[in-house]
Amino acid sequence: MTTSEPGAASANREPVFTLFACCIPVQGARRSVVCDLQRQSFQFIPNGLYEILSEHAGKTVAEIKAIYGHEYDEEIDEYFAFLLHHEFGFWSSDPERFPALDLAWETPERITNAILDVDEGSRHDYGAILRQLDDLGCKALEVRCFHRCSLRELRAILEAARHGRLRSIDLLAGHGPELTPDALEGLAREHPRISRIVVHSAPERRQMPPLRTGVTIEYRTEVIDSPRCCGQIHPGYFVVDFETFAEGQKHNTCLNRKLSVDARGEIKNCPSMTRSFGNVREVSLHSALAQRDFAALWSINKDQIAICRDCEFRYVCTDCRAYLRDAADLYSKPSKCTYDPYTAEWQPPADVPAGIHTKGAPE
Amino acid sequence: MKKRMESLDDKLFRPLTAAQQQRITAGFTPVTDTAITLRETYGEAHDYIRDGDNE
Ligand code: SF4
Repeated sequence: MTTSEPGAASANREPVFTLFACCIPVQGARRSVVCDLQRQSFQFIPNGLYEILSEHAGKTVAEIKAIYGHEYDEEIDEYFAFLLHHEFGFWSSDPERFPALDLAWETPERITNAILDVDEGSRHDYGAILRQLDDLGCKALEVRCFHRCSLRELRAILEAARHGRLRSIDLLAGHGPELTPDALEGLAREHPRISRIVVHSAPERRQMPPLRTGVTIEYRTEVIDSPRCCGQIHPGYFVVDFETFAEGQKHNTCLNRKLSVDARGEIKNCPSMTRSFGNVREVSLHSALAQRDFAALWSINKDQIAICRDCEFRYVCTDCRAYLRDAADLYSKPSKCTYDPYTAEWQPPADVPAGIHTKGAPE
Repeated sequence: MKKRMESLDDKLFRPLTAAQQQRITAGFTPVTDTAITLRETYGEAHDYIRDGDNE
């Protein structure tokens, strides 16, 4: 554990507890969390400890205990032991030497991530779409094929991306006899931009060991046959990293700098939304993006969303603006979230999958 | 008003289990920085000796 060398000026100062800059407490209504953005994890803490870390930051333990009238001396000792155990911080006589992280979020790309939906009826010109996404600076693409896919179809999409500047492609494809683990491994080797392949509607669930390059291939029995399957809010989808945490301060963690092309070619913020900014066959992605309202949802952040603003997960939870509790209120909580930050309970509990229809089972 | 100091032993503060963090569908979260970016920076086999300018 690091302890700073006390400087001459601070030699006589009592050390105070200092959080590492990447360990940031977030207060919720019933409990708080400390997000460790470097280790990409979080721990729950009582709101009392949040109060100590925020309102009483920079005070010595003796001062803190005195503030609480020595009523909680034991708990306060327990709190600091916990923080040290999880390596969230250290004792320092010079806390000013450790400034907070700058959470300003900026990116040079006009679009950072995109979704391309495909079904049997799609007539996409993959080359044209991928070239335009390249021009916009897009780094990550998610291709969601809702139908039973052939390898030839997947290759056609991936070939269009071969010489572009995408850094990652996530592929979701409907199970077909050609999509064997060997064939998909071959595909991932041919196209190193692939970061993940998920085959839905598979007869059985299977998780292949990650390839040497880190690519994961997974077979799932869930039927993902339309964009309606999206928008799940669950701890499994939380993203605890600096990028998301910083972006989430002022921007929407799903829609910011996102562009989607739905299965019919309609250019949208999200394929689940009804508003189209034109069809990609007639309107360029650039001109869709230039329309006045395209970026309107990008800045809806969790601090503005009802209920979410009181949730300790608000900067690690990827939002959904397509499925809302109150469809008429753009600032209402995602309808697929079952978490209640006022009781700190998931309904049903987080380990019981809710409302997912698996192959062969009624919806 | 000062907060009540609850004990960390309360079940409210237990870390989530692996089962609670399992994804419930095969859906994706938006990815702006990718595993590939990380591999480029942190690749185990990174060759620190060659520096490109002074091959
Ligand atoms: S209440 Fe809001 S921030 Fe919290 S988990 Fe649900 S959607 Fe995410």
